[in-house]
Amino acid sequence: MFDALIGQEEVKSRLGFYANLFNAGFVVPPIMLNAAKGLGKTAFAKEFHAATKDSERKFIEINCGTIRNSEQFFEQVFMPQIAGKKVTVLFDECHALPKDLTDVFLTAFNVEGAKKKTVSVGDGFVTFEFEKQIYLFATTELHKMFDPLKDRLTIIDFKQYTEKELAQMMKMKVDWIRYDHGVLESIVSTVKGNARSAIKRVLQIKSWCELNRMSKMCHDEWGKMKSKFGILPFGLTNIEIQILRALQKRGACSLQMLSAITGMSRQAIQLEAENNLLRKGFMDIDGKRKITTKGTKILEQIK
Amino acid sequence: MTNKRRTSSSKGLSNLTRVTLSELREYVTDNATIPVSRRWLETIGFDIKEAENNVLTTPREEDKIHFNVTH
Repeated sequence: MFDALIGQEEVKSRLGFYANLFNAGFVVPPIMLNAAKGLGKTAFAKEFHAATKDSERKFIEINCGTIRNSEQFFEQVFMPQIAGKKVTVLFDECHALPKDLTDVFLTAFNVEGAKKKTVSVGDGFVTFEFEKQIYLFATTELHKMFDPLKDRLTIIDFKQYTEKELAQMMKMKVDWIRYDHGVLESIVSTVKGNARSAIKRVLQIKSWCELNRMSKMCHDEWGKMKSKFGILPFGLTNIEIQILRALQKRGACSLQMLSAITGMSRQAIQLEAENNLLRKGFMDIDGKRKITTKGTKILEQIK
Repeated sequence: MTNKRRTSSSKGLSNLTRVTLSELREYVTDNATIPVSRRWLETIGFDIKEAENNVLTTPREEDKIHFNVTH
């Protein structure tokens, strides 16, 4: 179970328990997969489904951002695809569920182990059959979920991957590429700590190797590739470098000042640039934004 | 001395207000159509003609829920 996935041992253990529970004929509570982007929520949901499936069982992945109201959901998805069927349903980006559907789910998932729950929707009734159906939810923004609905879900939190796990993932994804000593570690240091960027990077490497008819990545070749693709140390982006340079030149800056210097909105800086700089220890926030010694050193390397 | 009749719009008042995109996204989905000022669109370099053509020719996709069914 979950052999194709690297890391997240606690997630595997908990999902594995629920898969066994379901296979033994018991009801699985609705589960919330809570993780930052790119950590593999959908991949784990699919593997969980694979661990519970029989020949009839289907996996339905719904983008909640496209659901406008409960009527539309029951008409387009629930009645044709879910009602009375054996399915695993994944509500992806579930923080975007519309209010009226959230209200229906509050009633539907207030079950405490019951095998069925019938709820009124509009002029009719719909039945959630928990013996046949498993309901999974996934979000990157748990804080945006309606608290009473959150309380009804079993929350499973993901962790950030270690560099070793990311390296294993890359090796597993493209297993015919060999790396000289230290090259894979250098490559992993340029991905942003999540599985999705590690997979993207190894696919770039695969294309590079295929184009150059080679099956081994040495330091020289990785250097050429970095230069060609504009891959900066620690996976920094140009905007992150611009922020570090501004902090080095001007000293401590407010977010507003950084926004003025870079032309990015305050929120874009917070979401897209600062997180990586803080995680890597290149920047510090103590009222104002400051570059760290480590950040100064990395700028010297880039020169 | 004649009293000037005041116009309905007072100086400094506007029908527009400022809101961040993230705040707005709490109320609308990605596919929502939002009325914005034509002048603002021109300021940011948005091609209005192209957008209007798209609206006229593209079928309404926003009513469809995006979902995949696999085994």
